[in-house]
Amino acid sequence: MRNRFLPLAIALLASAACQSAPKPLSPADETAIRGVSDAFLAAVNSGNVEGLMALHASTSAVLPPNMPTASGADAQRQLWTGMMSQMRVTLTSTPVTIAGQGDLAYVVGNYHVVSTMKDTTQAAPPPDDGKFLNVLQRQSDGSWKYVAESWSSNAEPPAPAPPPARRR
Amino acid sequence: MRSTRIAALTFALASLAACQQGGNQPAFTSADSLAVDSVRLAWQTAYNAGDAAAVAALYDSMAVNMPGDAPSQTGREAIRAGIAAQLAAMPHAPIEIGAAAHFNGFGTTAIVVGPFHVTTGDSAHPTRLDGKYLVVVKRGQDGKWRLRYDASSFDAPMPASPPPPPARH
Repeated sequence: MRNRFLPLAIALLASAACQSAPKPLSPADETAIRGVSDAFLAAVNSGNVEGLMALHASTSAVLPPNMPTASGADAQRQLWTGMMSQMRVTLTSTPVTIAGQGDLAYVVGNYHVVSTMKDTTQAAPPPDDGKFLNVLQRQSDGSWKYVAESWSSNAEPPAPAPPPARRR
Repeated sequence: MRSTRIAALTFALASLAACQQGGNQPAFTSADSLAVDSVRLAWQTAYNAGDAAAVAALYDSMAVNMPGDAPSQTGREAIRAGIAAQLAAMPHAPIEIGAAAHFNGFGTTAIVVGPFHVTTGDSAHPTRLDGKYLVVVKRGQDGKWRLRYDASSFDAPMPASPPPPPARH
């Protein structure tokens, strides 16, 4: 009789605990998210546009530096195709933080990229170091996909070349 | 009486199971959405008032600001210094931060993507610089929403500073 209300108390406590303690990502979630990051690097480094597209949710937004946001599949295919048609890149990245709750996760880290132009008569951009913030969401099939992706260089834009000196 | 106790115990176990599966996360309410959006408006107001400290106060103690074409700034003091430097480099350049184009809220985390623009130059010759932001906003133990990560960049390369004039001999 003394424990008459114990099950009810457990039920209420369980419910309250659930409400007040958002569930962090599980180790399995983190492994899956690292897998998406690895697949992203592989797709970029092999120039695989469709591979990149498959990693992004249909409603995702990609925020490249010095270019407008690419929202949705058509704009993103155009963005990736444009980038990869001109150059080959060797991209490496280091995730610093992988965190999130439930079906939402974010990855923060640093990247290093070396680019070479397919048209070798054109000058390649210098190697670049930068940082990224990517957001992923668990899909209805349990997979994780990017819903927002942002990156930018750590370097200031290069100063314009000085005008050529006049000769007398 | 016994059936009531069994029902309560069953509910308790079901609640715990749902919790384990992440099926009972705290709801993200419309009040949360409004609170997250108020951070955007407070940022805009503080920046346009030239108040770098007030901007920095909108970030949590672990925050990272990730501006385009510059290294990340980690922690409120570094963020304050970065904002102060930006205000000094671009004085009289008001910012307008657009509302969310993409929004995701879950538990104590919100993700917002949106546009912004900065207006430079004088009123006779204003220049509009468009950009976009992606932020992670977290609700703290005190119930306040603050920026944890703030990534932004302009949509076009920023005009670089002109090179220094050649030294006279």
